[in-house]
Amino acid sequence: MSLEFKNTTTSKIEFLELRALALQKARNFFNYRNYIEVDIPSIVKFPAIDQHIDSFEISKNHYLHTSPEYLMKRLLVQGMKQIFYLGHVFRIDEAGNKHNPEFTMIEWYHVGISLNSLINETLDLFKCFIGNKEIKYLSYREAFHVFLDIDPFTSNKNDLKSCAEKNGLSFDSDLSKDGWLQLLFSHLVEPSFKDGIYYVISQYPKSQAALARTEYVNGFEIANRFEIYYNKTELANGYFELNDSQEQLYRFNEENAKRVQIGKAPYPLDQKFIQAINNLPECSGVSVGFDRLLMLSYKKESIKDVLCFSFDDL
Amino acid sequence: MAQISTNDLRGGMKVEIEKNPYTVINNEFVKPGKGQAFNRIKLKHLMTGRVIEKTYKTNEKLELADVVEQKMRLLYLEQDAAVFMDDDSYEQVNVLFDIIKNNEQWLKEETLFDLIFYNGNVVDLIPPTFMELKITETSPGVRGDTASGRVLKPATLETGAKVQVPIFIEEGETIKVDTRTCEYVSRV
Repeated sequence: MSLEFKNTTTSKIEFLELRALALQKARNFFNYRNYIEVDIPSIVKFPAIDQHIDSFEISKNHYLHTSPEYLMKRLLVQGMKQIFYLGHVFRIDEAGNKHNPEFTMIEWYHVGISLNSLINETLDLFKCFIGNKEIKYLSYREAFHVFLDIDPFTSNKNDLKSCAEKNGLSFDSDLSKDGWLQLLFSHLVEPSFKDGIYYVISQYPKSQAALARTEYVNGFEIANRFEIYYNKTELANGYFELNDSQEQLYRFNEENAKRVQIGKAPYPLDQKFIQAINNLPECSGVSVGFDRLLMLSYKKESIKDVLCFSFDDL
Repeated sequence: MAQISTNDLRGGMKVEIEKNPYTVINNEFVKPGKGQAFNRIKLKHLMTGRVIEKTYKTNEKLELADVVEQKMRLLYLEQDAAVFMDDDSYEQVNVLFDIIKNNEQWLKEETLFDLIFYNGNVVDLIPPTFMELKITETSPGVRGDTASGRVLKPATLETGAKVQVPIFIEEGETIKVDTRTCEYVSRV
């Protein structure tokens, strides 16, 4: 059965039937591949620590999760091998045509699988919803070379700034080097992607490793991380997962320091997670925006068109 | 002046950037899953109409522009300006034709216009969407010309506006016209 959908107008109620079907279809995809669904708690004591992601604090020291990552990894440490989560996550202030503060995420982990195998599995999932399309593989560095003729690793902030100006991007405030890279990527690289092609971007700069392991490639330390884009929309973000407690603690402290720098409160450290991660078996994991998958599957312009109720409708 | 966070900007709001007033056309939230959030904002200059695009970090602050829209009645025309009055306060204001520009063609006495004030000065005016105006000049319609459907001819209205009207409309008649498009709507 293909869920590829003819571009016809459907009422909201008709669409919600399709959404329910798509949820089932995603579950079938993972069940068929021997993944166990884990409905981990959405109320956490230790939110994910990321300078750019803010968690709803619902009562003193309790937060809604922004991602199921930490608890899922603890399950892997406890012995589970193949798990997936399909449920809601929550992020403050993220609202727009492709964002809703509460959205549905599919996140899955597979012990003993390489990042490349996980990329293929992620594309298999997309094929079920969007169809079998051309795939382009580019490293992060190649993407900047191809579309902006600039090297993201050797350029400094001024180089990136003049690249933005040269390409007609009007931006006046200050950013970190990663901020400039993210500005260029989201405003100039992403919009250059051709429609109808899956773009797999890999080998991110170490500074954007998040929870991915790093390695040296051509003299640069890169993160074993990938993202997949389709029709100028970010759909997936995956890692070959870090399993070094010391490095994890270092990165958390760095992120918290950056949160403080930009005037945000630091988040408490999840010691159980940090302790556990030393025993995390070699594994890869990825998260996919389910609502965006539906948008692309059914050619909807706004995330509001695929939700029961958007944040604005509450 | 009050400030607003870039993430709260909505279409129609007025902001001041580098001492220039703009109307927000739209505001796109751009954020990588991992990374800095931005607002990509399309803006239209309040006076020149020029459209620009600017990107800000989400939750940067912008100044709201002191822009007020006020309904005022046209009293009379002077050599180089139009004089308007507020019906409630009887306050009067002179607006130069240089500011009124193209909308000079809709200036009819006793009509209510929307005047746009920026920092207390009129920078633009908007005529009513539909106006009923008398035709002061048009050629007589020629019978038998209508076989090929709706045939139009040029006409000049009492305010100076030039519009296309159906061929059966005569000089001296009053018609309803859409001021946004200069199009004939109906006979009155």
